[in-house]
Amino acid sequence: MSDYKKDNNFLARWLAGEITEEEKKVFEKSKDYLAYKDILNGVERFDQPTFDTIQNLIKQKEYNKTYQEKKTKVISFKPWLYAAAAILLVIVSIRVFNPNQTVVTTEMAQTQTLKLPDNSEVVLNAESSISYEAESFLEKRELTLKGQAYFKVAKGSKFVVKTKNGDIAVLGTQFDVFSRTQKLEVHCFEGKVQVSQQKEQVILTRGKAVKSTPAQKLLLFDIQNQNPSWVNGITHFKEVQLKEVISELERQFDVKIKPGNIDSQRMFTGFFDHQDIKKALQTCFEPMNINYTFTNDNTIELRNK
Amino acid sequence: MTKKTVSVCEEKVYEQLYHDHAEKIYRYLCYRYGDIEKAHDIVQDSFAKLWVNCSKVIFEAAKSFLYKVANNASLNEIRSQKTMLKYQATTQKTYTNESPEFQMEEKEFMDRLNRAISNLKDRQREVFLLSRMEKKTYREIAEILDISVKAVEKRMQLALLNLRKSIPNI
Repeated sequence: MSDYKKDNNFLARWLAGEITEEEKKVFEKSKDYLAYKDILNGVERFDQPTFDTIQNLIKQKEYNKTYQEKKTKVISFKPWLYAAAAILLVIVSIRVFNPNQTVVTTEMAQTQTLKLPDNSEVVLNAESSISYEAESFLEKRELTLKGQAYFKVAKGSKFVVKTKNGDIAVLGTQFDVFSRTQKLEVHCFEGKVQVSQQKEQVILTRGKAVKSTPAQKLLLFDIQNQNPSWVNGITHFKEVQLKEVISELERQFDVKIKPGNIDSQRMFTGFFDHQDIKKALQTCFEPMNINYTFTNDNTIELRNK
Repeated sequence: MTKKTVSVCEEKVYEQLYHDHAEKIYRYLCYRYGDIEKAHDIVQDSFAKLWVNCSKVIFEAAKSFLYKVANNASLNEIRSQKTMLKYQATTQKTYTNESPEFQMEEKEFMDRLNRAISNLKDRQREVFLLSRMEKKTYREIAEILDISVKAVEKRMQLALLNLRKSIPNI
């Protein structure tokens, strides 16, 4: 006798009448057969669940009037994954096209501290980048800067920061380089820094700074602080044009500022904190008699009072 | 010759679809979940979805749309604790000469069976009841559930074995 429990789907086939006469005879003699018959007969006595179509259709029409389809959930690719993928792509492409070149970039409203292979420290301000050759860096300490960064250079051979507005060479020191658009500004906080621009050369000692614009070449001035204030989250200005203040605000808070009818050539001396945009706008524009309004979350319009 | 397309948005057509399918879908969902409340809700949601999307669903596809939505909706539902199937046992004939003991035993057996069916796994219960209550063939069940005939047989077999286990010999 074939054991129907082990036989592949015997009971199911029996129900569908798909077993042989012989199998059937054997099964009908077994004790289980009666039990299964009882079960099946019992099930026969259940009613199908009832459904009042007419009544339910009336309810359905009422329900349809107020029914609002739930928004289908779209499981989105997480934004940070996009960011990670983008960064990875950039790194890979840089590796492929420019072997050994290491690039570090900061976005708007972001600063980053990093250590160079020779243990020098760099603090990158917002929207800046440095690139250097990691493998040969120890032999030739040279890097390219776009934007603004603060360097704490470890003692050693000549350390050169190249910018499009001029080169800065040092031996072991702390200094801040600002190189955006046409403007170059270097503050020396320790040691000696040599700034060269075209044919001009200046050597800065501790507490000295230099700035240059297309109009004025390499203007020396004194500084009091121990390190650049932006490293501590404050940006200071001393007799700079308002348009520079505006672009620094834009960089620090990742906003767009429309100058409106104000005179962006006016000189400004002061500072702002990177913590709070409202406070920063107030400290910069209130004393200048300028009104600022948010046209949306990240656009600000300026007007003379 | 262009065939006139029937729009589901037309009230008459929609009503016809409701008459044709609502009850069948309802029963199918009852078998599947052993829960008439849930089956009611899902039927209502499925037809509401059909109404909202009536311009996008062609008449011929309405049936499979309804089943698809019903199946998906069910998946989204949080499984409530299973309630016993609320089928009514057929009323006993009043003129029966069966003894009260026999009637009581009968009732006990039916309750037991009812509970055993509720306790089946959803996938076994839906196959078992579609087959036994709706007299559907394994092939038809396979089509509704979008599984193979072999899988239907397997579930049927397991359902029977499980029911047998929970109903001791009488």
